[in-house]
Parts: sequence; structure tokens; C-alpha cells
Amino acid sequence: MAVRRVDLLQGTLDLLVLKVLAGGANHGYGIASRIHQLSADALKVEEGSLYPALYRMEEQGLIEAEWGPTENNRRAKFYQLTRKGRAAAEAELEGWLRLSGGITRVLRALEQGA
Amino acid sequence: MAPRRGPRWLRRLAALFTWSAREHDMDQEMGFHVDALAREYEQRGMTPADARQAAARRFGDVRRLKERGHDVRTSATMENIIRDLRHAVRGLVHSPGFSLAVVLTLAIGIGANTAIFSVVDQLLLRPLPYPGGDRILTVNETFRDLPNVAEHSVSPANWLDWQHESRTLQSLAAWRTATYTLTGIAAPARVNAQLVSSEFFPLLGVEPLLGRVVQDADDKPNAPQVLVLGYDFWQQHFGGDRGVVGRTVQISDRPYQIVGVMPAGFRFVHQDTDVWSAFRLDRAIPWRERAGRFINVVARLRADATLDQSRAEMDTIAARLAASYEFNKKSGVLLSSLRETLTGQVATSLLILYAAVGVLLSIACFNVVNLLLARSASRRREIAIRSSLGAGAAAIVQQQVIESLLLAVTGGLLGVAIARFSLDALMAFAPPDLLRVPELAVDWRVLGYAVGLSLLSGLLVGVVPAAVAVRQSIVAALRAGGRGVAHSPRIRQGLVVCQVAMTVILLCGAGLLARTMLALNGADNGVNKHDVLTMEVALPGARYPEERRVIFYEEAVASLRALPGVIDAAAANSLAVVGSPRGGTIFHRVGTEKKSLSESPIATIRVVTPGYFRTLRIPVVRGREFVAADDTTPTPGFVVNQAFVKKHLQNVDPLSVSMSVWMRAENPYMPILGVVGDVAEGSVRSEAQPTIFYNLRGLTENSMTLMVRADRAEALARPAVEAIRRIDPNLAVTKVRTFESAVAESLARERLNAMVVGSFALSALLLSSLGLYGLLAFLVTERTKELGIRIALGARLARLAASVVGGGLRLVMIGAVIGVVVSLALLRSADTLLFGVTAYDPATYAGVLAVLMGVAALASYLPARRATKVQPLEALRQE
Repeated sequence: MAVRRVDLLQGTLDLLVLKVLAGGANHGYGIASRIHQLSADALKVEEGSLYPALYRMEEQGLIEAEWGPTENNRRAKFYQLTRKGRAAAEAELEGWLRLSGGITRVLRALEQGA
Repeated sequence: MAPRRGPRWLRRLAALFTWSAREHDMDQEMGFHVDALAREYEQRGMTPADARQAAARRFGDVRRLKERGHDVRTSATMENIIRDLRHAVRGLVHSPGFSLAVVLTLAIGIGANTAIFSVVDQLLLRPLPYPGGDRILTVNETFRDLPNVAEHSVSPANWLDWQHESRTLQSLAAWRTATYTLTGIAAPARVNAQLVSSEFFPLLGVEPLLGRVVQDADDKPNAPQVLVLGYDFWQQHFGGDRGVVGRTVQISDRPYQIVGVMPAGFRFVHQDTDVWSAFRLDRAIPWRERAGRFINVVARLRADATLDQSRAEMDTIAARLAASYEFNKKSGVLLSSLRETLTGQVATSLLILYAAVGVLLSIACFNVVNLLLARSASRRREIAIRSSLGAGAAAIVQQQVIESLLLAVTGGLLGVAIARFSLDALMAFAPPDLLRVPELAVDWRVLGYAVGLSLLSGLLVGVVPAAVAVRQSIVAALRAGGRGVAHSPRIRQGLVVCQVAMTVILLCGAGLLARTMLALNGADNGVNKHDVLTMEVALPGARYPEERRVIFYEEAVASLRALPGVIDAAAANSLAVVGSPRGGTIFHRVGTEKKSLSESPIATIRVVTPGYFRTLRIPVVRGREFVAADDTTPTPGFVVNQAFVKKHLQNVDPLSVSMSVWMRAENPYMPILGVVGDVAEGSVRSEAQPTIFYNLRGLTENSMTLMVRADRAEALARPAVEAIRRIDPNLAVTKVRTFESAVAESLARERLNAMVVGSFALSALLLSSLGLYGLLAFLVTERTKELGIRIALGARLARLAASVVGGGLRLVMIGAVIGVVVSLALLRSADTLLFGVTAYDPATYAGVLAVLMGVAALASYLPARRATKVQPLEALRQE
């Protein structure tokens, strides 16, 4: 049971990261802050769990990273979408919408049936 | 960061090597994130310290996140293994005492095992160094009357008939050994030669390195003498000169032409053979009428025949020969594989040793399991936390197994060093022809064995603690704060009991072998072996015809007697007890029925000079021994021993007997002059054989052993050799040694056995007392709180100590009883190895138990003392 929840969470997290990065390159802290604004739940467990997700997506070739200076002139690692990542972001979004829409419909139907 | 080019697997592989670079990368990145969070909290008005704490909490466990980071970037399994390995190395470095104990324990076990395996491999597993070597057989004659003697020489007539009639044997070659003095090179050299028939080299299938081998044309009675050199001899005496083929050297003043050189490592049966020469046997003469059995036969089995088929066929042939010839009436034939002949003696003791090291290694492994259990018990809390954080059972087992593998491989490497060292020691102690291998080395095969054994031991010892660790209830362990939960004490106690039992078996075996050695060394054998110096002198036939030989040896004995400090001197065809007799033959006594050749009684023959029995302090029971006045030809009679009288002269006055002994062409009837005491024949373990002694005048020899009794026999070595050289400076005087050291050399194999088993037993004792100590020390630590309370409540310290020691001794007792019972059953089958002691020797068992209890008491006392030193307050504060 627990495992499935994590998978679901992970899928959501990936999608959120892609969505955030679609708005431009950002470092881990920036991505986390942005996700917090969007949804407080996705990073509820621990904020650091963003990083394994970033590394995995980097491995998958969805994003790439580069060290650079922040606005405060500190060094941070900036992530940005690759072309593959951009395509994935759209596909994932579409897939997610279709899935959630489907689930919503089913739940509604069940509610009405009950 | 990992390189971004190349296929993914390559990147993953590369990532393994950029582990620390990535670690740094993640440290920086996550550090930045936590810093930023902290600043965020500070801006909301928190103190810097609180802000940092809150940030860290929000971010999560950096270490675990980094681990997950590594995981997703590389092949997770490899990464895990490497992480566990690093973890294990760190953990082991942190507890050096534990690590050292485990590594040393395994090193002893694996080292001893590897050393013995190396010998087993060389002797029993590796193919013989001849193509198709497992089809090479030795062929011996057997005698119905002497079933105990395994290897009998063969009559040339039988060899030729077998060769003619056998269909299952592809070819049969004759060979025998000889020792020569070789001249015509830089310095005269004593060489060990094998005389071989022309079938010999083709049969073994080994080509010469240079020139040719012995051929048909060389193997004729009057063919020119040829010599094939062994590689080592060629290197040593000719400096590896390739032009040596065609050169001529002298043996016994006759020319021999060097025709070939054999490749390095070529040997046959004897390790110390220097040269090969042609047998030159006349195959046309009727050997059954002319001579006895004096050749060895080696054969090659036809490719389409089995050993059993060949045995059946050869038995039929032997039966036919027995029916046709009086000479063959009592004889049969025995085929054995060459390997069996080479290793037969050693194989049994080697397998016993192999079993012993197996036991030793199991003890070592039990010990390590025990140590690991103790360690994992103290780490239960860590394991519990790990599993509550989601580490699966597999991950926990993997980490444990990796730790034990690391320990085992380290132990194994050290073990290889130990093996190397003990093999050198073994070669130094073992007599050259005992193991029949030129060298014992740790090569790739042996190294592979050691590594395999290490990995196997690592897996075996790692799995048990890992399984126990997984079975621990996580919740219970956490609640109990990592202490006080019962943790497999039964398993650990059982292990100690097993160790003790195995140790007892090894100690009993070693004890019996040690007592056997003492008995063998102290054996009387019917002679006085003290203060006797012996040496061998062989005479070249060309310069010493029969009558000159007698004169030479009489002169030699006289000049030895004239040396200062000499009490007596004499000569014999070989050393008493350990030397071979002159032969065995039939005899006929006046007044008895004259039986056929095969029905006549047989006696052992030895040749001695006057004064022999006095020199060796062999008692003369009746009549007298040979005296100088008997030195006429023919001599006036024989001397016989008591065994001869008992077997052949019951109810007869020996001194009234007249007999003819079939040793020469003419064998006149002569009286028995005296009866002497019995002397062991062949080895220290043997009984005396019915023996007839010839005076040297009656049966000349071209190689005799001289014996000198003197107050300080050893100091006489140089003057004695010089005295012989003064008579003839061109003679080689060999095997100059005391009688005692000759006997000791003959016992070299047994001593080696006893020493090796003894050292195993001591190692086992050491290991199992360590095991006992480890267990009790751990139990005392576990019981610290309980002991503290008991001390606080006024328990008597002595009683506490006694309860700890008692607990230890109880385990030892159980183990000892099991060990003794198993020993009694096992050692019964080792009866043939024993001498002067039985497998049920109470003294040995009592001694073993006393030693064991002493060591066990010491191993228990140390933890017990610690128990009494427990400070009640500290013990209670531990919670």
C-alpha cells in the first residue's frame, strides 16, 4: 500500500518539477519553493526528497544541470529542461489530466450510483 | 559528476569511480538548499540556531538522501555493495580488536587448508606429467607365501613372457636403479641412475630436449654404453651446454656416450634421478634358471582396455606360467596404476591431514560466527533503526554478508601467506622422496582454491548472524534500547560445544600420534643404536673383482678400529633395522626331505663381517658370532637369528644343523655357528624375520655399510672418512651419519604427520578457547546490569565468578564428552598408524581432558574476573 502511495507521489512530483522548469531554469531551492506555492502536499514528507527525483530525471535525460551564480551571488546548481524534457512535460501533463479526469468521472458516477 | 557521453552502462561504471566527486556535488547542492531554508526561517524571526534546526528538519536526512541520490544515478546494486563495503571497512577499522580476532582466526583456518590442499593437488589431483599418464601401470610379482609384501621385483623371464602374451597392455618396459661414480667431468660425482629398457621412453611418451633417448640398438648386451642426462644434472654439471650430446664420460672406468638430455621436470618415480642408461639385458638367456627377480616393470594400458580387463588377462597369463614353470609356481602378478604406486603411502596420511584441516576450518568458522553474533547483537539498535527507516531484510543481510566477506577475504590473503610459509617448512622437514614432488608452491590453482574457500567461509559465517539479525523483533529491540533481548544464546552455546568436541578429536589424535612417535624413537628393536657412526662405501666393479672387495672392507674395518676412541667397528651389506637385507632365498637342511623349489622354506639373507653383532650389541644367544679366524674361503658356517630357530629349527639343536643356502652357483652344506638375538627387519615398526647371516667371505658385496661404535660417534665422521680415503682416494663415502639419525630419517614421514596434526590440534585448542572466551565475555557484558544489582544486594563475588566459570566449563564438559565418544569411534580405524599405544589409551584421553579443562578454566576466568569488577552504580546508570 505504502509503496503505491510513494509511486503516485513520485509521479506527481516529477510532473510538478517539469512544470516548474518549463517556466525557466531554476536551482533546487527555487524549485522547492515554487512547488510549495503550487501544492503544499507534494513535498510534505521531506523537502530533500526533491533531489533524488532531480537526479533520476537527469539520468533519464529530461533535465540537465549546470553550476552558476544566484541573485545573491552564491553558487547553486541550476536545472533546465532538455528538449526531451519539454516533450515529456506536455505528454505527462496530458496523461495526468486524462487519468485524473477519468478517476474524477468514475468517482462521480459511483457517488451518484450510491 | 559522471561524464555525460557514452552509453549509459559506461556512465554508470564511470560513476562508480567518481563517487566522491558526486558526493561533493550533492553536499554543495543540498547544503545550499538547507542554508537558504535557514535564512528563510531567520527572516521570519527565528534565532539562527532554531532556524538551522528547523531547516534541517524540513529538508530531511541528508545522508540518506545522498544515498538515494547515488542509487538513482548508478546501477543500484553495485552502488549498494560499494556503499556497504565502505561502511564495513569503516566499521571494522573502528573495532580493530574484533577485526583482528576474526581475520587471524580465518587466516589460520584458510592457511592450513590451503597448504594441505596444495599438497593434495600436487600429489592426487594433477595429472601425472606423462601424456595419458593415467594409463601407465606398474607391474609386480606377488607371492602366496609373502602376502604382506606389496612390491616385489620381477624376473626378466616373466617380463618377457608378459610382453609376449598380453593383449591389453600396449607395451611393458623394464627398469631398475643404480648408483654410480661418474668421472670425466670437472669433479667426480655420485649419480643416481635408472637403467631402462628401450621400451621405457616411448612408453612414457616424453620426448628428449636434446639428442635422443635410449633406443633398441642401445639395449643389447654388448652395445656401447649410452647416457641420457636429466635436466638439473645437465645444468649443474655441464652448465646447460647444448654441445654436450656426443661427449663421452666414464662410469666405473668405462666409457659412456651422452646421447640426449631430458626436459626440465622429467622424472620417473624417484625425484633424485640424475641420468638414464640402457638396461642391456640379454633377452635370449633362460632367466628362470640363471637369476631371481631383480627388475621393475612399468606398462601402458591399451587405449581400448580397462584396468580390470588387463588384471584378468594378466592373472590368466600368470596362472599359465605358474603351471609351466617350477620357478613361477607360487607367484602371481599385481597391476596397479602408477599414481597409486607413487602416492599410495602418502595418500592415506594426506587425506587424514586434509580431514583435520577441514575440522580446523570449521572450528575457525564457528568462532567467527560467534564473534559476528556478538557484534551484531551489540549493533541490534543500529539494525533496528535501519529497518524502521525502510531498509529491507535483503539490504540488512547484504550488509552483514559483505562485512563477513570482507573479513574472510582479508583472512584468506593472510592465510595464503601462512600457507606459503608452512609449505616451505613442510619441504624443509619432509625427506626428499616422501612427497615425490620437486616443489610445493602456491600457484594460481591453489590461490583460486584459497579465494574460493575464503568467499565460501565468508558467505557461511555471514548468513547466520544476518538471519538472526533479521529475525529480531524490530519493535522489541527498539523498546529495549538494544539490550536485554534474548539473542540466540543457544546457537552460540551450541557452537562452543561443537568447537570443543572437534578440538578434543584433534587433540586425541595428536596425543596418540605423539605417543606413537615417543614409542618409535624409544623402540629397542634388538640393537643398541646409541654411539654408532655409519657410512656407505661402494666399490667400482672394474677395479674391484670379488676377492679385492673382501680385502678392501677388511682393511677399512681395521683402519676404523685403529682410530682413537673407537670401541668396535664392523661392516654389513646394509644398516640393521632400516636397511634392506641382501635378499631372500631358499635353503635345505641335512636330515629333512628335499622339497621342490617352490615348497622349500625361505629365509632373509644378510651379509656381515666379524664383530658385527658385538658392535651393535646384538646378543649372541648360542654358540658364537663370526671371528677373524673364520676368514677363510669358504667360511666354516652361518649365523642365524632366534626367529629363524623358532620358525625352522623347533626341537632341533641349532648348533648341530648343517644346511645349504641357495645364494651362489655352489652352495655347500655348512653348520650353524651361532644364534643371535632378533632385530627388527625393515623398519622400527617391524618384527624380526627368520634370517641367515653370511660372513662377507662367503658372499661378497660391492657396496657395504660400515659401522663404528665410539664414545663420541659424531665427532668421528671426518677422521673415519679420511681413514677410508687413505685406502683408496677415488671412492665416494656416502650417508655418513649416526645410526640414530638414520633411524630418525626413516621415521621422517611419521614425525611429519605427528607434527602437522599436533600443530592443527594446538591451533584448534587456541581457536576454541578464544571462542569460549568470546562467548563468556559477551555474556558478562550482557549481564552487566544484573550482576551490578546482585553485587549491590551483597552477592558474594566469588560466587558470581564461579557462576560464570561454571557456565563455561559446563559447555566444555558437554563438548569434551561428545569429542571423546567420537574420537573412540574414529581413531579405532587409525590403529595401523599407532605403535606402542592403542586407540583406547586412557592416559592420552586423560591428558587431553586435563589440558582442555586447564585452558577452558583460564578462558572462563578472565571474563569471570571482569564480572566481579562490575561497579553496581555504573551498571545501573547504563539504562
